[in-house]
Parts: sequence; C-alpha cells; structure tokens
Amino acid sequence: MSLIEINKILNKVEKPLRYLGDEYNAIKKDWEKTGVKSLFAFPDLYEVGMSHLGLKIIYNIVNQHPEMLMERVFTPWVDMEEELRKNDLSLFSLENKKPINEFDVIGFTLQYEMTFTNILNILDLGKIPLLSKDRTNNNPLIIAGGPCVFNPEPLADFVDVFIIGDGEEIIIELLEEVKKNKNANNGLLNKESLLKELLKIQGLYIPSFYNVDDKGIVYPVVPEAPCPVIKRTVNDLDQAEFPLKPIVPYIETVHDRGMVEVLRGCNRGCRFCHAGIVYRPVRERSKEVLLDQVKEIIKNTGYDEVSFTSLSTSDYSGIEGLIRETADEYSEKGIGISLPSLRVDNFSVNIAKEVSRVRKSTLTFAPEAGTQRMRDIINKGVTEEGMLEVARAAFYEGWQNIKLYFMIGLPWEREEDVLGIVDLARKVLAEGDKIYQDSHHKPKVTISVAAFVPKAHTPFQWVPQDTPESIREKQILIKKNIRSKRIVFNYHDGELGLIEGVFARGDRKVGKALLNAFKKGCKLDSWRHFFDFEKWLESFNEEDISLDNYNFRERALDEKFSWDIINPGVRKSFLKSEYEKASRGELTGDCRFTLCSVCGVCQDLPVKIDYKGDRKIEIKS
Amino acid sequence: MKLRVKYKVTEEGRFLGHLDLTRTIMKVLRRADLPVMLSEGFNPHPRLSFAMPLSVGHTGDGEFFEVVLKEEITEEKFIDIFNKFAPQAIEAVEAKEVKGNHKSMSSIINSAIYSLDFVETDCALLSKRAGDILAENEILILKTSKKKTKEADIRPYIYDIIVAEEKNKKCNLEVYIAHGSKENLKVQELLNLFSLEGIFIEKVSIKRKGLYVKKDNEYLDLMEVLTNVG
Repeated sequence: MSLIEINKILNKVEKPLRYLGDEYNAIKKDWEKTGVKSLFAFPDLYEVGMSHLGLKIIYNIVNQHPEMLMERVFTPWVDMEEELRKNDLSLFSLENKKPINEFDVIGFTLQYEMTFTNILNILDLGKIPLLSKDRTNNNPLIIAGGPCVFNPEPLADFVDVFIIGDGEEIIIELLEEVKKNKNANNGLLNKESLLKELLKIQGLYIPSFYNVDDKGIVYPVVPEAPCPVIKRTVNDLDQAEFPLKPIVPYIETVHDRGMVEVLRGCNRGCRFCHAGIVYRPVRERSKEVLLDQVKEIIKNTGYDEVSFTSLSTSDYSGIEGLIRETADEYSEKGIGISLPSLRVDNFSVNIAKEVSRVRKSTLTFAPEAGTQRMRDIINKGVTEEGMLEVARAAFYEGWQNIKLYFMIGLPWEREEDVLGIVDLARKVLAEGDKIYQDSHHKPKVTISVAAFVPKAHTPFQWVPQDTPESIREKQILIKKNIRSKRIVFNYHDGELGLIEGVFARGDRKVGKALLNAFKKGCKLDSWRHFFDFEKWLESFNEEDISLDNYNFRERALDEKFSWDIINPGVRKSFLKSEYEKASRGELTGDCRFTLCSVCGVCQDLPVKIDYKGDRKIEIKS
Repeated sequence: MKLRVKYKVTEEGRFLGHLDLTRTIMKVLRRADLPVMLSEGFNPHPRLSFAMPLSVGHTGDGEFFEVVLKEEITEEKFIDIFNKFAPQAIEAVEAKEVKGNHKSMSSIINSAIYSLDFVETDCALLSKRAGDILAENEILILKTSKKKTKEADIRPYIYDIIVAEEKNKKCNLEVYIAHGSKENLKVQELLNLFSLEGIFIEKVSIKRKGLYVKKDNEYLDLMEVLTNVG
C-alpha cells in the first residue's frame, strides 16, 4: 500500500506507532525477492502481542531463512478499524505495509478463547473470506497455533491448518512445503495439492480431511489423515532457536523487557490447569545458555529489565545461581530482573530478595484456593502454615503489599472454601501487621479472585462450570466478609467466562455462533468495555445452540469428546484417574520430586522430561 | 562529564510521544554501552534531561538532551557510537561538553523556529495572510486550559513569518515564535490562523527546526550558548 494512503489515516488514530513498524531489530526483507511470504497475526492489540514470547520465537526463526519472510499484524484498535473501513483500505503488515491478502500464509496464535472474534475481524479487514471453503488460491493459507489449538473444532471452519504443540521446527517444515508448492505452480499457491503434502507432516490438524458426526466427534475421511493428531515437541531447549535480537517497540508494551525462557512445561499437576497438560513435559534450559542469552539480549535491546519466564520459574533447578549471577553482573548497571508469580515457599522469598536488588516489585503468590480441602482437590501442594510462613518472610524482607491469586467456582466447592479465601487473606495481613506494628507503614493484601472455567484436556474437563449467578453470590460473600480496607478484592463478572467456557469445550457447531456474533459486531471481547453478553446470547440462540449443554452439563466418564482428535501426549486415562483422585481429595506428586506419575507424555511421545537438577528421574512404563 | 546532544527526530520518529522518546534514548545509551551515570535511590535511572518536549506528529531538526557520563569520551566518538545503535526514529547530530555552571536548557529557551510545509495550496493567499498577521497589533484567540477558556493576544509571540513558494502548489512557511517556560505559543495556534478557504492546514507537515535563546533579534542555538559563555 502506498505510504501516502497510510499516512493520511495514521494522523487520525490515537497511537500510530502500533501500525508503523520500523522498530529497532524489526526485519524488513525485500518483498519482491523473497519467495515465501508469511504473516504472524496476533489477535489482540500491538501492546499485548509484542509482549508475547511465541511471536518473537517464530518471527526470528522464519526470518533467518533466506528464502522466507515473516511480517507482523495485530488487531487494530477501534479508531484504526474505523479509518480503514471508511477509506476502504485493507489491513496491512507492519514491515512492508502490504495488504494482508498478499501473503502466502497467515498464522494466528490462539492464546485465549476471547480473541476468536478478533481473528475473524483481522481476516475481514484484509478482505479475506472468513470461511475456509470460500477462500481461493488467491487468498493466503490460514494457519493457527498456540495453546487453544488443543481444542481446534470451534475454529475448524475458518482455519485451514492447525499446528499442534511447539512451533519451532514445524513452522519451517510447513513453509518449505509452501515454497515447493509455489515453485511447482509458477509462483502461485495450489492449496489443494499443498494440503495433501502437509498431511505428511506430523503435528498438523487439517480440518478439510475430517468430518464430524452429529455429536461433534471428529473422524478422518481420507486414510492418510492421522487420528488422533499428536502434538509436536522440542526435545532439547538448549538446541532450540531463541530470539536474541528481539524487536524493541517504541511504545510501552505490557511486558516491556527482555525475555528468556528458563523452562517449558510444568509437572506440578494442578488439576484445573490447561497449560500444565498441553506443554508437558518439563524441559529446562541450561544455566550457561541462559546467562549467554541474557547477555546478548541486553546488549541487543538496551532493556533495563530481563524476565525469566516460564509456567513456574521458581521450579527451575538452577534458579538461585541464575539469579545471583545475573544480579552480580547487571545490578550496578541498573538492570533488574523480573519473575512471574512465585511458588508458595520460603525459597521463593529468597529468590525475590535477590531479584529486588535493583527494583522492588510486587510479590505475587497463587494459593488458588482458600481451604486445605479445596487445595487438595485441585492438587495445589500449598498449606496454610506454608503460606503464612512465606508471608512472614516477605513482610520481614520489606514488602508491604502482597498479591494473592485465587479461584472460585471450582468443582465440589462449598461456602467454607469461599470464606476460606477471606480467612487466608486476613491471616496473611495479620502477619504483616505483626511485623509492621512499630512502623508507620500499613501492609496491604490484594486478592484477585477469578471464576474457574473448565478446559479441554484437563482432569476437570468432565465437570460442570459454575453459573454466573452462583459466581456472583460467591463474590458478594467474599466482599461482605472482608471488613478491612487493607484487603483489596479484585474480580470480574461471570458472563465472560460463559462464552470462554463454550469455546474451551465446544465443538465445530459453536463456530457458527462465533461467526454470527462477529457479524453482529462482537470484537475485542477480552476488553471488558467491548464485551457484549446480550449479543453473544442472541448469536447462540439464533443458531439454536444451548450454552448450558456445553457449560453446565456433567460429562460422562466414558464420553467421547470433539477434542479427542488432538493428542497432547497426556493419556485420557491419566486425566480420568486425576479427576477421580480429585473427588477424593488425593494428591499426585510432581515427578521431579517424587515418583513418575505415568501421565503418558514421556511414555508415548518421542520426548523425555529434561531436568537439570541433582535428582535422577526414573520414567516408569 | 556532562554532554549536551543535538539530535533529529525523523519522519519515522514523528509519532513518538515524549515518554516514548525518553525510553528510546535510554535504550540507545544502554545498547551502546555508553558509561551513563545513574541516579541514586531505589529505582536508579540514567541521568538524562531534555529541553522542550516535541509534539506528537512533528519532526525536529534541532532537538536536545543532556546526559551525565561516568567517563570522558570525545564528542565525535559519542555521536558515532550513539548513531550506530539508534533506531530510525532519531539521529544525533552534534555533542558538546557542558563545562562549569549552566542554567538548564528548559529555563533558557525562549523561542523556536518551525518549518511548515503546505501541499496543494495557494501560495499567494498564504503570503498575503502572513503579511496581514504581521501587520496586526493584536491577535486575540481563545485559549483553553484546564476547564478554563480565556481570550489571549498571541501577536507578541509571533516574531516573524517567511514565505517561500515552491513548485507544484507547494509552499513553505518558516515561523519564528515564542517558545519556552515563560512566554509560549503553540505552533498549532499559529497554524490555525491560516485556516482559510482552499487551504487545508491538516495536511501541513510540521518540523521544529530548532530551539533558541533569543536576545533582541539574535537567535542563539543551544550549542552556541555553550561556546559563547563557557
């Protein structure tokens, strides 16, 4: 697109830098001379997308290939969308400012169900037909990856190819096929022959080779189509490509810092946790590799903070050394360390202390539930005494504000579990009051209480979701019982969770309601201000789809699921036994510290747990 | 040592807010591994100060920041290294050591020169309008600030307007205005005076050419101030 056209509208939008590209380390390749043109489409705002590690990883890998390019596009904010539509302009890529329909491949990342309408909106703003069946060889191949692809069916009518699991290796395999296909067809894409070739790559789910029965269960219609599709994994994180020259945005993003990934996966086995299943097994990166990466990233970006990211960073076997050596090297340069939420134990406070040598940030812990009974049901190995001990240590070390994450609406929940949240918060605050009694400081506890949404491929995939009415009652119960101004209570309405829930455990049919909702104007649903529950309800009613059937029904233990077409490596029999153990409040240990629980990942997939700690892990069969 | 650095904000940088620009410059200094002195305290920051913030949407040819370094470095080397690590949005042009006592840049700046590029415009009309403005003794406009709207005379803040006709219905205006902490005119307020039939002020590209210390009719730029006094 011509820069003149773009400039005309850039002057009219709130944050033009969201659409401009040109950031330090952005890669703008020669459009004409590069054979395979791909676009990473992030279905949320620039500030959110540019904080996402997956984008950085894939962007770096594809752009290293001399015959391939990858550019970026994000969901435009409403002002930009209005300008594009008013001026009849296509949504364009940040790097070469090309209309998105001119790419060979557009890849979406599915991080969260409530971004699904944004995917349709991006396609629509690119003048690309939304349904796969309506697209021709003149439209890009639409692919998708990320955690939500483990239940791909709600998007099966819109996406041509789903990438299941770690994307590092498979993305190049896929784009190599695109290259071959274009070369064989005079530079044009022949999707029919391409999709057939892609069937040979493990880890791809291509809906056009499958059909669904009246219960939404997926079955293959060609013998070559795998059933189930088994996820792909990176086996050795030290060998995996990692972005050492990430793009440095001009504007402030959500996570405005350098990032290194210390480990992937989590074996803690919390029974509500989707990521804890689909990213198994734990694979650690060596400390030496990480220290090198930190050095390179700081040098190449100029960030004054580096984050050690993962699902559970305090579980990293080399964490103490990693943090100490990083702090020794960089604290006098004013470069700080940031950690995601910490595990509830004293060890974590020591880490936090070390981390705070440059800047003291808020301490966040996730006990997740208020009573021991409920914490045992969800397999969260945290005790009240443990939590209080941590709180004591943290207040003693000088933190005055502690943040706690909880969930309500968990299975088998009773009133006492809900009140237990307030009780625990109060006890934590009392520890702070004791330590600060002679000081003018007044400690504070913030509790963020989320409503639980059951997810596919978890031990709780069988349970009914709590109703918004019940969630509201529980929120009121908490509010009424707090009685302290120094306990801050954060929560949200339960309605959004209903829509999230129906996509989290929905089949192909719910895609029709998605399309309908988009046509009615639903978009940016994760921005509460835009979420329009009435419109969503209308959309489901008009398609004659019952939300209750997806959300509030207790599923039978032997029920077949529409998401069984995807195999995350963890066996359904393991999930079932975890569900049963939950009902009895029995715990399951983490195989890094106790016995192997035979979840199926190390047994069935060509990948093994990669733990760099002292303990040798024996994988049972 | 303290360095005063003159830099440009390019086309690519014109949408950076002041905070974005500050953060960008801090990152350049760190990437370049320049020995920047940090502030004391719990949240150490590079010792960096700016002249006057540039409005979003404008480019700038003569912008300034000052930075305190722990070690000596030659002015040329600083510029070289800085530009090697700078993004497209900014470019350092000149650096000079600030020796002895100098007042802060923001306290001495009192004027600016802006360059306004008009396209698809009637140059004769612009020229006439400029002449009319300069001939007035008083120009009253409505100024809004924090809920209050009051009438103000901006004529004393307009020092000069030079019109240069270019090819293809393009026209350049160079305007000399009051710009500083005491007396200040927003260039947009001046531009609004040219909002006439057939002239589209929203299409004008605005560039701040420089920040100056004006004494009588002499405009000293912030680098010249250092040479004259120091």
